[in-house]
Amino acid sequence: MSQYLFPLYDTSKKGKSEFGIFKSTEMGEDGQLSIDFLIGFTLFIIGFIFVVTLMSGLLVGLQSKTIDYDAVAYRTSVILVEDPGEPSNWFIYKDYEKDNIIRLGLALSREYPGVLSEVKVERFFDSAFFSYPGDYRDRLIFSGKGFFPYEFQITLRNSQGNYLYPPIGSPMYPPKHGYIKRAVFIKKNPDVVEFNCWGNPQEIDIDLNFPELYDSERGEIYQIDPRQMPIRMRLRTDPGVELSDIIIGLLDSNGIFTPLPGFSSLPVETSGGNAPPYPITIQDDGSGSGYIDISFPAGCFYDFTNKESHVLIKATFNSPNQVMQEYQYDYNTAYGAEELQPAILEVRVW
Amino acid sequence: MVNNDAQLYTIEGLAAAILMVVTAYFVINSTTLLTPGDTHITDMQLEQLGADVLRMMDTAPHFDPNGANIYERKESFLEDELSRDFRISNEITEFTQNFNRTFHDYAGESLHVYPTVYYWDGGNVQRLNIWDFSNPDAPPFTNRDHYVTVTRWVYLNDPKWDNDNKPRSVLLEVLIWRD
Repeated sequence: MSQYLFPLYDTSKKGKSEFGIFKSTEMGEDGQLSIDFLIGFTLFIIGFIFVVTLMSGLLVGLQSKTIDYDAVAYRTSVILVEDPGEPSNWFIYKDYEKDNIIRLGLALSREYPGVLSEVKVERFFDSAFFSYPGDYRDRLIFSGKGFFPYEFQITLRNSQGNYLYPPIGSPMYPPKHGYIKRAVFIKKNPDVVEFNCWGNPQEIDIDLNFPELYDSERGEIYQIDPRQMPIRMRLRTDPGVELSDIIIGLLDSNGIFTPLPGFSSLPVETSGGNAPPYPITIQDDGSGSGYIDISFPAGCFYDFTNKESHVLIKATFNSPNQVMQEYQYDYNTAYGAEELQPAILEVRVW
Repeated sequence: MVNNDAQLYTIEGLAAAILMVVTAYFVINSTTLLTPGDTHITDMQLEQLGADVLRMMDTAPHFDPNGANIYERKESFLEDELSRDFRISNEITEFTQNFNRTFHDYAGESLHVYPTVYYWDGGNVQRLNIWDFSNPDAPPFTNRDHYVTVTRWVYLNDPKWDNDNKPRSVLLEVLIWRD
């Protein structure tokens, strides 16, 4: 048979033992392994490779950090977009109260998931208040001591793709990372409200009518919330008037004004410099008039008011005119807070 | 006939067998099949984005104090657009353009969408044709695209396409896919 398979070889010179094992010093056709063995060995190798492939998970590290990056990113986005945080007014906390912040959520309230509060967003992205990564890990990613130290990046962009705030976290991320993209609305803070107070009055009263501002028909999503939002206003006056004092108080249902302790000689910026000290002369800012900028930071009225309060701001002037001007801070004069700005929030975790 | 005569030199035969098996293994292993089980994460991400965008489209971007009633003062994009008279082809064309543009603005990227409206007419579920496939911004839906589905119930106070002219809740179903 072998002469047909190997016609170039002289088969007459081959030597065999009784077991078929080639013993001659010359090359012969007698193999040491039969076809049966080769086939069996091949099948064994195939089976071995198959088993090893199935068991390949045993050969990699047991730490499962690589499989849940997307889950951590999604969970983080849910806390940011759908949770108002714990406590829900965490944004008014000072630096020494930071440990009382349990969870960082940006939502306006539980009733409006997907609508973020601008005042919360500004505080969240404030690198002077929260430091990366520790503050965020403890209150958002929840991977503090004892847990895997995830790294992350959180960005907020407008519809055109421009950053609204500097991103939080590492600027570079690896190709393999968990990712989620959420489309949100941002409820804006009210714009600066300008009141024209010509005629050098002796007193200017500005009424923050809380019951009117907390309009139930608008709902939280379109309201101005003076207890939680920053309130800013500018009084335009004639140049040369002398501002003697600004105080804040509460107006009760009978119209009785009660000044609040600690809210007199209010710090303001004017075109004649910063006050106090009072009195201060309001200079011409180049437009033929002067201005007084009054700013109340977010949460300023939170502790001593409720939704039924009337807060009155009294600005008194050293003026011979015994005239008092009254203005209302309401939806006829204040704008901006009823607008919802679309934005894109992205979370990357690795 | 099985005998002791070999047909391959032993070591060469062994090497050839191993080589063939290993090569076949590498060839078969190098192909990647994207099974439905692997796509659940990317599908979830797209579904979440789609749900977010629909929620935004169903929220009025501002309060209109001059509206005649509470419904008009807080009328959302979807409430306004889905109330068009879709029996007129021009209304369908405008809806297609507006929906595409608004969806892309809110999503921050160009996604392919195909919305459909279903409603109950008292006896059966009816389907409303609201999409203009001839619009260049609306690529045809081939039914072979890997899409996700997001739905939202929308209340329409005064749908003009309805002969009965009465308020309705309709189901908006949007198919979303990427290229």
